Amino acid sequence: MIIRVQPGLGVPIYLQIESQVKHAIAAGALKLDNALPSVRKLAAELRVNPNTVARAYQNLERDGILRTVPGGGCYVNSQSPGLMKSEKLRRLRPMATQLAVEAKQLRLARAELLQLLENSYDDLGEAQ
Amino acid sequence: MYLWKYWRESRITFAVGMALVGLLLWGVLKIHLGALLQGPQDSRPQNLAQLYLVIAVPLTLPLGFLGLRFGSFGVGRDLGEGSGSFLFSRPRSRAFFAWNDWGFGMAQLLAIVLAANVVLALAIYRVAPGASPIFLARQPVSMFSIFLLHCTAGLLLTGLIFGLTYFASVLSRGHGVMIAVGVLVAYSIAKSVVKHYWPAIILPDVTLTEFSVSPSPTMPAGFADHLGLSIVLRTAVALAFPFAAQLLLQQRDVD
Amino acid sequence: MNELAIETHSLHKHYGDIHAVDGLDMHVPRGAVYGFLGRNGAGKTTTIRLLAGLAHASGGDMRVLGLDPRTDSPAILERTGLVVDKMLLPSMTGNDLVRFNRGFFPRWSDALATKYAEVLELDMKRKFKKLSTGNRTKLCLLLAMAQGAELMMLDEPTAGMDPVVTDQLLRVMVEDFANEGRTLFLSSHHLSEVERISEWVGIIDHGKLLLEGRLEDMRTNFRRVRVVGEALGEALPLAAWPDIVSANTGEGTTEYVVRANADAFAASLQSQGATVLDVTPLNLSEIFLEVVGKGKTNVSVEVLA
Repeated sequence: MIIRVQPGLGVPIYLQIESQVKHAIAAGALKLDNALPSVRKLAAELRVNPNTVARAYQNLERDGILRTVPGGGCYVNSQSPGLMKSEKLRRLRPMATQLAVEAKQLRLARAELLQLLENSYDDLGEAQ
Repeated sequence: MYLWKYWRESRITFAVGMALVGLLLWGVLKIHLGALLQGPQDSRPQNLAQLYLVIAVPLTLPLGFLGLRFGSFGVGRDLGEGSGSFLFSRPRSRAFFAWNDWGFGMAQLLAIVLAANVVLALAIYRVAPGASPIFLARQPVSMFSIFLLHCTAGLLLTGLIFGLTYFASVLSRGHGVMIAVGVLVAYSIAKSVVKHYWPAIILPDVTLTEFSVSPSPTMPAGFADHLGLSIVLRTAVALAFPFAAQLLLQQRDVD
Repeated sequence: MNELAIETHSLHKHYGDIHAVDGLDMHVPRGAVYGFLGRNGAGKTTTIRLLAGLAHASGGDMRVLGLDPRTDSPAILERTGLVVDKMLLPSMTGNDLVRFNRGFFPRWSDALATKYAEVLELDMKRKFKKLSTGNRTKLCLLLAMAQGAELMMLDEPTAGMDPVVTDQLLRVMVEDFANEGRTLFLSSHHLSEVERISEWVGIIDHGKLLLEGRLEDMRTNFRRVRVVGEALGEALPLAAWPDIVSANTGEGTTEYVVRANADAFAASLQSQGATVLDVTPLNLSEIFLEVVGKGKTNVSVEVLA
C-alpha cells in the first residue's frame, strides 16, 4: 500500500497523504503518469472521510504534483510545481530547523550534517 | 407486516384456544344433549333453554383465560423485553401500536367466540329446529337472537378481561396477567363485601348475566330491561382500555 | 430545503434534578459525517433519543430534516436509520427482522441487507437473543443501513465491538455513507475512530455543547504553546487572551493550550521576554481532554462553538 496514515498524530490526515504521495514520487515508487486510486477508493481503504482525501489531492494538484483528467482519475504530473523558490524554502525551513537542532544536540559537526543530507538526497535516485 | 409479529406470538395460543373450547363444547354437548334426546319430547323446549344456560357457564372460564393470555401479548410484552426503542423508532404513531395489537387480539378472540357459538347453536338447532318457547323479559325470542346475545356476552366478557390485561401489560411493561388477575380477584371480593354491608347496592358482574333466558313466560325478568344499556356500558369500558394504553404510550418516554 | 440535517436550540431534558441535556445548541450540516463526542453520561444518548422522538424534551427546540420530532416523528423516522438501544425483537432471527422491518421503509433494499450480512459476517438464521453483543450491534446496524435512509443517527455504534469488526464497519460507513449526500451522525467516545471519518465534531459535556466545528479547523487552530519558566502565570493577564483553554505549570515550563491565534499569542509572550519552547499541534483526544477540562487545571474561560 503506497499510502498509509496515522490519525492519532497531531498532523492532519490530508497533510499526511500529501507527504506520502510526495515521498512515493521522490523515491520512484510512483512514476510520471502513474494513476492514483480514486478519492472514494482511497478513502474506503484508509477508513477516512473522502473529503480529507479530496483535499489532499486538490492541494497536490494545485502544487502541480498531480493532474486530474476530465473523465476522472488522478495522475502523477511532471515534477515542476509552479512554486516560487521562496515558497519552497519556506516549506522546508521547519524541517531544516529540526535537523539543525538535533544535530547540535548530538554535537554533530557541520560537515557531518551536510554529508548526511547529501547522502539522503542521493539515495532517492534521479530527480524527475 | 406488523400484524405478522403479533400473529407469531399468538398463533399457538389461538390454535390451542380454539381446540380447547371445541373440546369443552363437545364434552358438554355429549353429556347434556344425550340426556336431552333420551328425555320426553314435550319437555324438550324447556330443557333447551336450560341447556343454553348450562353451556354458557363453563364457556366463561376458558374465555376468561384466553382474555388474560392474549392480553399478555403485544406492546406490553415488547416493552418488558426491552424492545421499546426499536419498535417505537419504526415510523408509526404510538396510537398505531396500541390499537393494532389490541385489534388483532380482539379479532382472534371474536373468531373463537363466534366459532364456539356457531357450533353450539347448530348442535341445538339440529335437535329442536324452530323451537321457540324461550323467553327473555317475558317476550318469546328466536334462537338467532339468543345466539347473538350469547356471542355478545362472550365477546364482552373476553374483551373486558383482554382489555384489562392489555392495558395492565402496557402499564407494567409485561406483567399484565398478574395485575389483571389481581384486579379481578379484588373486584370479586369487593362485590361480596359491598353485597354484605350494603345489600341495596349490587355491583355489576364481569359476565353479562343481566339477562335470564327462561323457559316460561311467567318467570321474573331479571335485569333484562336494562340489557341494552348494560351492553353499551360494557363496550365503552372494554374500549377504554386500549384508549388508555394509547394515552399512556404517548405520554411516556420510551426506555 | 434546510441546510442542516439536525439543529437544536437550547434543548433541555430533565429527569427530576438531573439535567441530562442542559441547553444544547447543535448544528449538523446535511451530507456531513458528524462525530458527537462526550464522556459516559455526558448526554449523548439522551440527545439522540430526543431527536428520534423516543423521549419528550423538557424545553427548547429541535429540528431533524427540517421537521419537529415532537409532532412529526413518524415522518422523520421514515427517512432516518437509528441505532440507540442495541436491542431488537429477541425471538426473531435476522431474516425475520428483515422481513419485519422491510414493510416500514419504502426505500428498503434487500440487496443491501444481504450485502451487509456478508460483509459483517452475520448469521441471519440465529435468533436475536442468541447472538453475542457484537453481533447484536451488527444486526441493528444492518437494519438501519439497509433502509436507504438520508440520515443515520448511531449511538456508540462500535461499543463492545472487536477491532476487526470495527474496521469492517468503518469501511462500510465510508464507502456507503460518507459523501453520498447522506448525513451520518454518530456519537462515540472512541475518539480515534471518530477522528478518521468525521468532518465535523461536537463535544458535549454535562448536557452542553462545549465545542463544535470542522475537525480540520480544530486541528489547525488548537495549539499547545510551551514557555520556559513557571512564574509567568501571574505576570500574564490571561483575561486578555480569550482563546486560552488551559494553563498549566510544572517541571520548569508553563504550558498553554489555545484554541486559535497561537502564533500571535506566542509572539506576544516573546515580546514580554518569555522564551517560547515550541508550538505544537494537538490530536482530537488531546483537544477533547482540554475542552472537557480534564487535561489539566482549567482556566474557566468559556469555549464557544
